Amino acid sequence: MRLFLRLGWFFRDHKATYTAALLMLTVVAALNMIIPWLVAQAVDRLVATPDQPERTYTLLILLAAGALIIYLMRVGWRLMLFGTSYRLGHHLRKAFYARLAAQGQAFYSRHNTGDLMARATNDIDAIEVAAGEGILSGFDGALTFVLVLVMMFAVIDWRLTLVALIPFPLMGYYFYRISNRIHHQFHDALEAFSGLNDMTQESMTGIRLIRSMGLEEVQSNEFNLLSNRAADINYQVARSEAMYEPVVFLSLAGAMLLTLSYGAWLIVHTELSVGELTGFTLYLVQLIWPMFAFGWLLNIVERGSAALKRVENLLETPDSVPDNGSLTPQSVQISVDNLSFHHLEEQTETLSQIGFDLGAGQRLGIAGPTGAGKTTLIQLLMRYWELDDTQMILLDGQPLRAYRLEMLRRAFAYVPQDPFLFSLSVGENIALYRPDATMDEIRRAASLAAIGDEIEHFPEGYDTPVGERGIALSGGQRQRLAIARAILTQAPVLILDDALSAVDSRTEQQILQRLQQEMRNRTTIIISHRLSTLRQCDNILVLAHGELIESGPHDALLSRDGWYARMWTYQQLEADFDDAAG
Amino acid sequence: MQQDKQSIQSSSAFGLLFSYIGRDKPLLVRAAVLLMLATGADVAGPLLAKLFIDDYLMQSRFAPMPLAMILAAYLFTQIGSAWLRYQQTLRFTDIALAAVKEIRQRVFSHVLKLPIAWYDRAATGQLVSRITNDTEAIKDLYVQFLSTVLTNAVLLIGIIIAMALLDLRLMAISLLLIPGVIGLIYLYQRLSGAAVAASRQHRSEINNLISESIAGMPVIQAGGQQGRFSDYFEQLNTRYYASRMRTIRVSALLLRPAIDLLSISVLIAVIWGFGQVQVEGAIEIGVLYAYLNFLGRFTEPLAEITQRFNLYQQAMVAGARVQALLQQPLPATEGAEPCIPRGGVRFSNVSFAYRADKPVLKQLSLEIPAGSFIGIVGHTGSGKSTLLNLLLNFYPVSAGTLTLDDRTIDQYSQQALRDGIALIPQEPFIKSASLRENIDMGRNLPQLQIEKALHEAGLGAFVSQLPQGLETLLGERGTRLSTGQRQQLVIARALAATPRILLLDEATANVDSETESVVQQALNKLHGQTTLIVVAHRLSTIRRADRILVMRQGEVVERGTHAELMQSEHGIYRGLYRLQYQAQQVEMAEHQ
Repeated sequence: MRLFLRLGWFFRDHKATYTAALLMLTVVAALNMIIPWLVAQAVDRLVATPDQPERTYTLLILLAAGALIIYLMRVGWRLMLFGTSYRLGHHLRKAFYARLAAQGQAFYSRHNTGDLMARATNDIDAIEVAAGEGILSGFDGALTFVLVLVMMFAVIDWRLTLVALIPFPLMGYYFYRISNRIHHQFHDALEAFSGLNDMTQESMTGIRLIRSMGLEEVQSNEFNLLSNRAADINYQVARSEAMYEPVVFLSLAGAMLLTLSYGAWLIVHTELSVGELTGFTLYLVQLIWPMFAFGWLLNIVERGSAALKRVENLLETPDSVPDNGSLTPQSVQISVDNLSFHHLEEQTETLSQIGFDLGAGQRLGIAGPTGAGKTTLIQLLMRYWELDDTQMILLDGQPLRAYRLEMLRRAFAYVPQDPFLFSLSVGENIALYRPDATMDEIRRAASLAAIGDEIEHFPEGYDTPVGERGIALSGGQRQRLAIARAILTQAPVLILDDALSAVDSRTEQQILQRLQQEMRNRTTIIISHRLSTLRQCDNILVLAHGELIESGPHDALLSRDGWYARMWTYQQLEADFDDAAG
Repeated sequence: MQQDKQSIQSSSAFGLLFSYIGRDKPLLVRAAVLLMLATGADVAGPLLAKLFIDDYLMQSRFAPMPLAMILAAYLFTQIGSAWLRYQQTLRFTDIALAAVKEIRQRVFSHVLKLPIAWYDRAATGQLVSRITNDTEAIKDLYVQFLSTVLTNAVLLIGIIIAMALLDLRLMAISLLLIPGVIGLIYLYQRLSGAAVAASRQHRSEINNLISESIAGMPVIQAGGQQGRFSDYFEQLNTRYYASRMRTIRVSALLLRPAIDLLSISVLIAVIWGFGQVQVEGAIEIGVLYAYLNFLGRFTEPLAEITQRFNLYQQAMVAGARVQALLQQPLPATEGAEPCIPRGGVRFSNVSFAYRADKPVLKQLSLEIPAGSFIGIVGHTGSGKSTLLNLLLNFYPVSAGTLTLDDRTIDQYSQQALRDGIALIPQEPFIKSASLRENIDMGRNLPQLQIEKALHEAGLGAFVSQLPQGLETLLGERGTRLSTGQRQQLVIARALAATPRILLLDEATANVDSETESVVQQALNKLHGQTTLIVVAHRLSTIRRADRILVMRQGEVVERGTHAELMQSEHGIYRGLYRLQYQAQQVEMAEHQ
């Protein structure tokens, strides 16, 4: 029940709706008690005066009126109770998204996408169910239970009630056991299915290996084992579910039997009427739902509280990068001094003792093998990670923390190697950071990035959607689109993180030249595996395994027999070879 | 035309689904008999109660013998019905699950036998979903149909018969419920269809946006666009809420509450009707009691059956997709030759294309004597991997002939090719299973052969010092092997079946020089006994080959030994060699 305590704020906020819904539920439950009583009265009148059926008409009209009120009330509480629980889901989703938007990379490296998605979807659904159906089964179950008992005890006959109820506690107990078992078996069934899925996935991707080794039989046998297992578990689930009916049936049959025999005895001794007996059996049937509701409630609440714990846990995670600064960057003067950094769970340092200066309008090149820490360095400049010592990176003489996060990041136009495009139109993707940009500005940026002509040939031009429901872009097109996006921002620092790797070298040179003309005053940082890209840079850093192993302008680096010079020779050789062997 | 095709597909899907129900006739008959008996016993209860009320209670006759008989009959039918129903449900579930299991296994083994060319066109994700999700949808239909719809339909009929036995006029009144409930459900589906579809659509848009935002959060934050995206999310969220409210409104108005209202109305009508006919003196109060009892059980099955129609449609679509998969033709029959005797390979004028307009191999002729070591180098797209694919019989040649020991490749049985030709792929695949299972791979090889293969791959000493030897568990929860050992294991796996021809597909592309030397040693040991065809990125791997072929655009442009090829100043091989040397220099600088 702690679930309901923790959701207390929500229930308080929607006090009026919940009160109304519960009131309606109460009215329905009360009227449900009166219906069998009216039926009992009608039957008694028919027995007493078989030749005057019109004596029952008032009762029948009352019955009809009661049924109509019940109908309206039921519609009402459904709208209120379920509607409000949907509102809770709406609210939690909104809060969840807001938290996601505020988190930095340290957070995203700790949580994988699948897990976050599960919390945003299945978990919030489970909480919704607890706030809607949970409340319903809890309140209505308890209410019906009490009212039926009251009617049976007080109105009809307390002795008959005691006798008839003997099988019911047993029924409740079995309901609880069965619903518990199903809960666990269901979990197993899901797991068996996902095992089947994994195995199929593995076989379909590994079909060539299977063929080359002649493993078709072996794989089929393994699949058969898994599908047998899945069928077995499903059979177990079905078996448990099938248990509900005999339990209800036997308990009810037992209760009926006891009612009829003891009721008959009472009738003979004229302490009970036939009508009362009929009404009594109708009450008995109404006791099934509360028994069932309690077993169900326990399950819903259990699932809901586990889900709430996971969702709250996330909602309470503090920002991984606190945003307490107030400054706005005025000019670009980056100085990095003795920078060391390692990711949380890793032992070795990702970067160690890096130092360099970058002034406004300068171009910095970064080269080095994969995994050298180049992208981490960029992410640190943009403050996606927190540093141990804020003095290691200064912008205009101030630590990064002194700036407002949004303003700091807006100073950079960052183009990653594998640019991320949203399922929006091509034009919206270019204008991602400047939704107010005019069509002319967007076109100009696209043509600077050498993608304009191609976009004009898309089926709907700049309105063509990107992704599954639209156009599938090649790696090179995506990269050029991201460049156009960066050009449009007009941020003072442009960062190209191997951003032209999928573009052929002639187009690359063309784009770089245009950028150089366009952004004469902008600071540029270029990371590239293609060293010819870095040739024009004022300063080039060579990183390997997190360390700065060489630095200087192109010509100076070439004059030494280091990594840069050797790589340069390699790439020259490769170009010659490709020309010859092509 | 399109219409025709669809209706044929849907009816064949129906055929597929229902052909499986009758598989186990005795079980089906048993289940049906149980169902009839259970329903009979079930409806007998209120009838007995009626007998008791009218013939004994109302007449105040309390003879112990008949009463005890009624009591015994009541107990017998009720307990019997509960037991029978339980048994019957299990039987039907059994039939349904067995049918789905068979369909599933048939699809899987069928798909595994389809030609590789078919896999080139198929999307893996969709394929997996056909085999698992679609068969799961069929399962839901089977289980629901057999255990819910069928059972409830029979129960309805049973109740109607019992009602007819009691009184025809009251039965006629009660039957009004059937068109009423069906009408309500129909109306519900008409009215809610759009809202349900919209809320599903919004739900999937929300999920898309969340997953896209998680992946693209750095991009969003880089431009300070969190606010805009949050607003957009809130729009979707609100739309989702609104569409769900529409669905709950329709379902609240037309489903449960309305069906209950209908049920009470019929109850009122029955009491009224009873009053009318009782005036004629023909009817007894016990009949009314039994009717009230029956009515309580009448609505539920009706609502259940009608609500399942959606599920039925979905399963039919899924069934049609599965059926389409089962109808994919299998490759033509295999040859009869039981084994490859020596391992000589000859390509004569072999051409091949994956797509008609793009030839990959052009008129290739090549003689590889049994036991020789051939190295193949070349750029991506030069056709070297295709060469291996043809040898593995993944594709038939487009023109020319490919012969193994003087017989064309299609004259050999599948088994002969599998046993005679082994492949070592680029990425070693290690199962989470024991060392033995990783080498045996379900082929049931003799112990001696496994040990010999381990020895040849240079793993013999390593395995003998493991406390559990061949039974040592590998993979995620077991012992972790070094990259070199993984490669050795894969070699041992390939050698265990004593192939005549061993193919290596860039097996040394991503390994350190230590691992490479391990592979090299193994190759040297095999040299002369087994035909070795090695596609290599690293030239050092094939330095000792009897012959090296350089391929370009589907043709062999240079051939000779390492020494011969190195002599031609402007040769491609020599160029490649210089490039690799330089790459090593770069790597060394990185570690200085």
